[in-house]
Amino acid sequence: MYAPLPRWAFASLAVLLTAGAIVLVALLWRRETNLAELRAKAVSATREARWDEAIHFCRTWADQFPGTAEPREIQLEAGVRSRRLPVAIEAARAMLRAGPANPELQEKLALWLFLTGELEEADKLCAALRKENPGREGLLLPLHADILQRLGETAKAAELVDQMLLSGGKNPQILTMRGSIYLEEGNYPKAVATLREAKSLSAQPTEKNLHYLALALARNGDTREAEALFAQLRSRQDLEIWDKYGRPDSIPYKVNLVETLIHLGKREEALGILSEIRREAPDNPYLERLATTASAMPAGGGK
Amino acid sequence: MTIPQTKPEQSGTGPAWSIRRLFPVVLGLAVALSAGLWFFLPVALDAGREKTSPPAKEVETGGLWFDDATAEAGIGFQHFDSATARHLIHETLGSGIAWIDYDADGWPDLFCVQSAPIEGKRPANLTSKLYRNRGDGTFEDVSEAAGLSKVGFGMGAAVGDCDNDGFPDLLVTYLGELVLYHNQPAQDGKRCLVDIAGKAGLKNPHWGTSAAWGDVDGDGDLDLYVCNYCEVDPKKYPVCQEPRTQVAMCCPPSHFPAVSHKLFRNNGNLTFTDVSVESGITAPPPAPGLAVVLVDLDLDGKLDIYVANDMKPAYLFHNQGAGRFVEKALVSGCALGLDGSLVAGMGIAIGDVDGTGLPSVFVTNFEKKPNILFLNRGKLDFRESSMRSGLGGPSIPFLKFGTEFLDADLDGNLDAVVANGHIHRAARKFTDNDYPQKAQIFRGLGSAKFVDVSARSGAYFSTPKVGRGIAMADYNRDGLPDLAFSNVGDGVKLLRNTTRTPNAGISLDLIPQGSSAPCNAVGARVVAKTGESKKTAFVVGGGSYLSGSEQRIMLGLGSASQLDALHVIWPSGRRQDLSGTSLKTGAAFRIREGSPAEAFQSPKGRSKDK
Repeated sequence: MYAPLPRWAFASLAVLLTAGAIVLVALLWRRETNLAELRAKAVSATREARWDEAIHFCRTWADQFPGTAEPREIQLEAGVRSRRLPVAIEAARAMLRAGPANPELQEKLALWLFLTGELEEADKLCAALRKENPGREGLLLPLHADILQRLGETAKAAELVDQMLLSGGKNPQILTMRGSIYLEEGNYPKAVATLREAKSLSAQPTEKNLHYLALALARNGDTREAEALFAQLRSRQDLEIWDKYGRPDSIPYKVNLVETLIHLGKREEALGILSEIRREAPDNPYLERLATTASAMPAGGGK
Repeated sequence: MTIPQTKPEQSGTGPAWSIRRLFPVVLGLAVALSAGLWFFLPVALDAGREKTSPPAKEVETGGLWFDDATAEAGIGFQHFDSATARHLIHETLGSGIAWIDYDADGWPDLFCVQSAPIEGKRPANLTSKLYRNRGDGTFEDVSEAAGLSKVGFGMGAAVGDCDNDGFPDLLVTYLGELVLYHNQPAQDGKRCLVDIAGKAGLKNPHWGTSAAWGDVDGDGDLDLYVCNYCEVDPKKYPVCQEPRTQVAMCCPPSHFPAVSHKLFRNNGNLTFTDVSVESGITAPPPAPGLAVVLVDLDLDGKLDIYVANDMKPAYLFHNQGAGRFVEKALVSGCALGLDGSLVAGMGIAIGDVDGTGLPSVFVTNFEKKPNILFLNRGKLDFRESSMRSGLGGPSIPFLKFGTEFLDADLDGNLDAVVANGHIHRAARKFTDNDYPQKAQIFRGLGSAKFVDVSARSGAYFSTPKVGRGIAMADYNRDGLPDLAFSNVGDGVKLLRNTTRTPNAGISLDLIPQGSSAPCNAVGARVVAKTGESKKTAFVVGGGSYLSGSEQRIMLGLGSASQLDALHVIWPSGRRQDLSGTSLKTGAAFRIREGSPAEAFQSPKGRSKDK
């Protein structure tokens, strides 16, 4: 029925099969080599904090070996340690897609999404987590309330905050959140009372508490106290910046110190530092004004 | 029977034998070709798509569209990058751009501020540039003819007709000085710009950044606000390192003393008086100012001043009348960001984004912090609404500078555009960001909601740049707002708005009494009604970052074909009702205070019709 295959066809087939086999073996060998190489590179780059490389190798590794969880785990670690949250988020999403439910990782992902402004996804994740893991609600409620408030879902946020206040007592952070919601709702007297209560419960009130209390006071008509709180907040933020970027002996720091000294009535000290600053920054009307203020103060004062 | 047929093949001669022997090769080639096509064809198609107009899909999904028209327009400005190995803070800010109709022919011309080496010799060719709009989509460089020979460390520009002669003048801030270009007739009958800052009494030996014109004392001429950044002596420049990685970087402004800003009162005779102290603007602690806008925030008929400060609370100078101001940003809720956090305020945009008829304030911010939207609730009560608006979240990874609100598709909802770019060249060593970054554009959905459409708004929004200034104008008079961007060490980019939209708008040039230039209508407000819809637009002084937009009101009116009512509230307080006049959409009008609207420079055909 069939004509015998010619010799050239056998030869071609043999060549093709051999070539195919060689390519296959080479690919498998290369794959193994790649896997080992990529792993070693990703691990060492992460260990040595070479973040760009670490992330690149992890991504390549994950792309080439999609079934492997390890590259995503290392990527997540690299993302967190290098404070590159979008990288950690990418890894966490991939791990959650591929692996079984992991409430701990989901919680972290929700927080990272909140911090990077992906609030819709964070909201959905929190809602799902709370539904599936009622036991973990305590950890999730404050985050979810914060997310809802930022999304403008004030009523839903208030519901969660009230739930926390009922079950967990008066926590300054939660009270601050409640106060800020009252503020948003336009209920200024209640906002002031709640934020004051939160402030009284904390030795060192948070920036958030000072800010919202000052705003509530201002909207409630108590501008003087509001301005005093804003001044406190401003000094604290200045100090935070100097702590972060260093040089606490810089001129702005000294100016701030002078302002504080004037506020405390310490005339001589204020004038001493002022003359030092004015040598470094002459012709500064604000410094001149501070000097006039300090000079006009009674000598040897101090509260 | 079959043997004879196979013979020629077995013999190895003839065409059939050759084809079969070559079969594996041909097969291999075919596979390779297919693979090549499979891989490269979409890339080639995609590349082609970026260069042309938006595909239908993009329009359906809500993209806006801008084409880079820089080359065809003949804008060749190249910003001088003052980078040094010392990482001076000066290197970070870039410089701005401003639209100015310097020859008053109705076509906005483009002024580009040039920088220079911070120290040492400055090459004479580093002058700012003025590009005259020919009215056909192209520009000509008229810098030399206009007399622009000044070389210096230029920062920002602000346009205003300070002598009310109908020809806009130009204020340019430099490190250590101000230049006031008075617009004068040239010998050849054209116009030239002559620096009269010294004679005019405009002195600011500090580091001026953004500036804005506006009649803050209500005497009929434009006064001037100048932001100052900080006092830096390059000879005593400290070494700064990124706290976590110890990588060398430019020092933050908190390392240097800030200096109060300046307010100059226009004396009406081309001289100015420094009223910074008596006006009250030096009352709050000095702060590094980067952007300023003059706008009546509480609609009490007096221009207020809003200033974005870098890592310090913003200022809101509430106008008390008679040239006196009281700072109220903190108590008004528009000084700080999320939960009271500091904002590294860079740029400002103003607009009625929620249909309340009030000007809300949008401020750009540092990387890893969102841009901040302060919704105006009236009576100087602002609500921070950054994240819920959709303007905050997508902005977090970027370091943001210039910004503008515009209605790019004339649907009646303001859109927002933001220029991004890091301040540290070695940013990649200590953040997950690069020095050049993509600009962003947000489509407005109404009710203070926005969606990031940068990925489908044209190639410029996918190309990383070290973006700084943004200035808006309808440079080709097609009724759609266009954009210009300034970039550090790079060319100014002109983006032509080619959004395909069935919507129509109306363009209005407002000319207040006693003036003949639209740029002097700062403080005017327009309320337009079509059916149930009411739109409010403001003419503001300053805004964006180091830059100045055209002060033409471009109202998007959706599918309406005619305005039902139009009210203009002039800086003088006069309320003018233009409802009786036939104001067809798709047209441009010039309205002089107290006079009926005149059709003026009707928009030419849109890009879609070309």
